[in-house]
Amino acid sequence: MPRSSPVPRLQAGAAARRLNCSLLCSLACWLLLSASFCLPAHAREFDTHPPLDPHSVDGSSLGGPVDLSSTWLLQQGDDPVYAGPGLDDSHWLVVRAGRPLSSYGLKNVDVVWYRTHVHLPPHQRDLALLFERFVGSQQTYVNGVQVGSSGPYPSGGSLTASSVQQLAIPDALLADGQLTVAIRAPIGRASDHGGTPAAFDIPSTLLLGPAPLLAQRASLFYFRDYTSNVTNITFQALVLLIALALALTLRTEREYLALAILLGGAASHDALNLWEHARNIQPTDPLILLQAVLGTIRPLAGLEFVRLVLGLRRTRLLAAYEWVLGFFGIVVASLFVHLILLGPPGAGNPLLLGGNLLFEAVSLPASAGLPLVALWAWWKRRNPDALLLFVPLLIDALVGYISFGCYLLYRLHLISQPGIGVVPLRSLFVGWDEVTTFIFCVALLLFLVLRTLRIARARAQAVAEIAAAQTVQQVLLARASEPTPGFAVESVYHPHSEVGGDFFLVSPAPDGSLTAIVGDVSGKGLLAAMRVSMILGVLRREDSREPAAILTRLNEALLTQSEMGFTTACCVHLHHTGHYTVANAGHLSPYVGGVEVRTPAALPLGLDAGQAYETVSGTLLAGETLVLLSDGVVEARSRQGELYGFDRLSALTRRPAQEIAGTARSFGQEDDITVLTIACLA
Amino acid sequence: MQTPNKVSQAELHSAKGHPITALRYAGDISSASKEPVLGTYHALDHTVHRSLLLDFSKVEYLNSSGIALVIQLLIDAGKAEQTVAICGLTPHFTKVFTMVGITKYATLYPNEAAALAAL
Repeated sequence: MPRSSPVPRLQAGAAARRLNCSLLCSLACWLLLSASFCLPAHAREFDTHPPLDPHSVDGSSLGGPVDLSSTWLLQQGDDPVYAGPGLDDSHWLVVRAGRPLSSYGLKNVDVVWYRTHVHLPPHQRDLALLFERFVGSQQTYVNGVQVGSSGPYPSGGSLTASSVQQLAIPDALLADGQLTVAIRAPIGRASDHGGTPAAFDIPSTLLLGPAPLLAQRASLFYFRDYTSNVTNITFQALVLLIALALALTLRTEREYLALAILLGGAASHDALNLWEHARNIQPTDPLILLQAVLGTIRPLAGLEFVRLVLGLRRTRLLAAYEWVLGFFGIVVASLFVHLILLGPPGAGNPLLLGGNLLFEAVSLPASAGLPLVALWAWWKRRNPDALLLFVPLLIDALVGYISFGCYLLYRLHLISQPGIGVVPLRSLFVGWDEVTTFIFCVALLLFLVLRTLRIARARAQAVAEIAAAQTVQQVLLARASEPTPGFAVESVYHPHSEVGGDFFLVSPAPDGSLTAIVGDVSGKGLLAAMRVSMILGVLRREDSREPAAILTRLNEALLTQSEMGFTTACCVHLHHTGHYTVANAGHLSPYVGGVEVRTPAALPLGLDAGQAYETVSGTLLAGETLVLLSDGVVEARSRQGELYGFDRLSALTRRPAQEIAGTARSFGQEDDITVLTIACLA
Repeated sequence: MQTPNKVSQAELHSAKGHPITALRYAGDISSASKEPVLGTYHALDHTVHRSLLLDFSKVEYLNSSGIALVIQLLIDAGKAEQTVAICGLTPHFTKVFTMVGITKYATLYPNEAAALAAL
């Protein structure tokens, strides 16, 4: 793919990821580094295309196609006579391919003509010309006869490079072996871009040779030029699928979704770019907008991805920056690219430089800041993900630095091409930026693998801990229902998750009375299970049978555990005669015969020292049942969001414990459900 | 799915002309609401904001952890000798608030107008 073609650097995605070196010293360093990337490409200019004299190219001694690319006779202006073979072009400029026309003193170029003269053995047959990566539109003439063209493009110029085009030369033109190849290039806007090479860029090639040989070369062109791009897009899609699978599997880890969006945007952006180049698609406003949107997805999703991985809050400043980035990436970049590609001639040059500087400045915090933030997160928080993420972020930032440095050097006419050059390979055409994109994807893939392995290990450990806590809790709660001679006790306990935050204890006394307590600790999971274990331990050591005293001592015990949150509990002491005493600490009051036993309001346990718990007393009549329950019953919530509520408790608490719990669960369990029913047998 | 809890602040005056700082909550109040509930309260200067009105009329759901946050706010306000009133609770949560002893620290009103009239 023609990375070094004069496609404007100003594209939304590129704008957002590149870096503006505002500090002069760092700018100088990066310019030097960038130059080191670009000089080899410059040096290759004449290796790629053998030097020749355009006044007289000898094609008789060459066995294969003749490369006409390196040197041309050039004339600014437009006159049909420039196509003819008899024109005296000895005074025309001799120019090298890829060198900006401005370096030859040409300004405000609209149309140029290229000419070269080739001597072949007479009566050749079936010859053709093959253009590769010619920039913009052209009309090509051989001995004054037009043999082909490309374009025309909007407003007289295009910034895209044609991929490949073969033009057949009629045999009649080959009779005397003298060929004058003339190319009219209305380069127009392409020449606006600060002397950007137009028509014959460095990688542009024009070959003259046997048509079958050139046809074979044309078919190889796509393989040579697009293999690296297709490889990168495929690789991005592969990592995207992995990220998507992880996002669907680990739904709480939203960073995988952000990464999938990032890669989806990047792969779509690159695929669209590839399609435009391969098919010579001309720029239109919808395409420009689509490119801008896809290009902006990458930095925005990238910011969210890094933020989520590092566990940072989405501050207002960050949100505002994302809005600015989105606005510039989509709206402003689209307008700039529209003006450059489709606007009036002459606007491109200052717009391109100004636009690039503007977008580099806007993207500076993201591209320069993210690797630093990752380093900080690793250093300060010992976040292992931050170190893993640092590598791809640094690669991305470095590419941004070097790419922008190359662009500045190019604008200063210190190097010959605006990009970071191509890898010196003969078999494939691979840009250095494509190599770094590949390395970036590999680094992301490694990050995904290593992080997922770490999360899997942590989750396995958490599952094991929860299982252990569940076992402990089951053992403790199994012991909560001791034999209760003289009473019919039924208990039902349905934790909402593996381990619950509800607890109950039924404890018969030697005098034949019974103490029962039902409670609920705030929170869920392992921490709640630990609190329940601690509370049951305290209750088992309790000697008193007085509900108020039991709650007071439990409150004191919980207050010593500042991290324990709060606990509601209702405690009942019931004699075999049916007489009962109740104390309540913020818990649901008990129900007797479907009627609520109103208890004085009191704060839950573990919140405030010195709380006194008033008691109420009553008598359980023959056939009546005292029901203690947790708030999982009244706060059962239907799919429509309706709470089960208190109003239905009167009727429900006349039912057996299993039925009470079952009703709440089928209504919509949202919390642990505990139901304890006690009746006197005498 | 929980609706994120939000809080807005408004400076009101009671019928008697006392300045009242209203904290209006919306969404679900749960363990994730520490910042909207306690953070917003602690950001207020307790020497300036002497009377608070906690408005729950836009709250969709309160769980036990959310109630714990409200209780913590009330305990802190009690230590700072601030007056706190609560309004906008559904009958269900009026009962829950009463049950957990919140009425020892704050007076419950059916709506903001009733609270401002009484304060």
